[in-house]
Amino acid sequence: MSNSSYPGYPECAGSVSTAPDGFPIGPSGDNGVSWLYDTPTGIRRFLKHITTVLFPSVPDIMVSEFGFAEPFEGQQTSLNTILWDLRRADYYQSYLDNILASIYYDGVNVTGAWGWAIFDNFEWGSGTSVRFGLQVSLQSALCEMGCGANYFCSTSTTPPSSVCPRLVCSRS
Amino acid sequence: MRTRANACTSGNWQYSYYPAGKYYPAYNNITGGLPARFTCGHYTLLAHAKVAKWYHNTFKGRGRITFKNSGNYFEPNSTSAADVESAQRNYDYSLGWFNDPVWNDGDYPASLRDTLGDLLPTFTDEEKALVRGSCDFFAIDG
Repeated sequence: MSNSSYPGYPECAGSVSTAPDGFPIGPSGDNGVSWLYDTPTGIRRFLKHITTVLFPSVPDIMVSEFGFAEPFEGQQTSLNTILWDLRRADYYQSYLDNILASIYYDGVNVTGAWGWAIFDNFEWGSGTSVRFGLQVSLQSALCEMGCGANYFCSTSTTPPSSVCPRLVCSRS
Repeated sequence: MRTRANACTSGNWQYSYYPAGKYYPAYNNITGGLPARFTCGHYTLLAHAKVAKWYHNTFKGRGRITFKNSGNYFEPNSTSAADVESAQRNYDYSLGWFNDPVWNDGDYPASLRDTLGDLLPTFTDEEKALVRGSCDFFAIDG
């Protein structure tokens, strides 16, 4: 473990994004975010592992960032195509379901969940080619809610869906 | 307030390419590589702890303070002891690096100390007391 010339030093521990049977762990996001997979059962297990095994003195936990980059959305030009962001919708529904399961079945004190992100934005080195926004904001004159946004707004108990409005914004 | 401390690994301290494309300025002749990564983490954690203490004790803020954590969920690939240890080492080097001091005993995980030795800075007893309990809740990026 202390051999600093070993190529895996210092972690000396690897990991793969496949289940033991070799199947990938979940649907993947855009190619520009190759680390991103949709793994809803994972968030439930993770919340439990953090608060019971790794750091049991944690009083409460929040999912400070979770969201999905619909593959190839940065290359779509038609709003009609973009609005059906079904992978993103599925991601939000199943993650929210599993966070609720974590609270009510596993007894984890989850006190918040923050979706990333309400709008498309500059995604590090990928810039605007990778889109995480629940609202379409980078391409058209209208900011529209896609399916993902509808799930996020309808499954939250507060605020009511009236605060997830259709925004009109001007193209810069 | 949320900070993302593990950027010390990829973010222009240990390596030069991401996100700024070059190394950040070097102090005390620590120019990149593992010493830079763990020195960066050490002072980031101490800075967080000092601000948290000021916020609660001096400023008497009504909010809650933590740093957000960007780490993966690991499961052993099998029931072998090596795989179980490997999963835990992955946690030690990602979440454990910053959270063992805060939530457990005020010090880095034992596996980091054993493997890195002098490459890993040390906390004084006062610093351990400062860091321990400096987060009010846990923030995990899913």
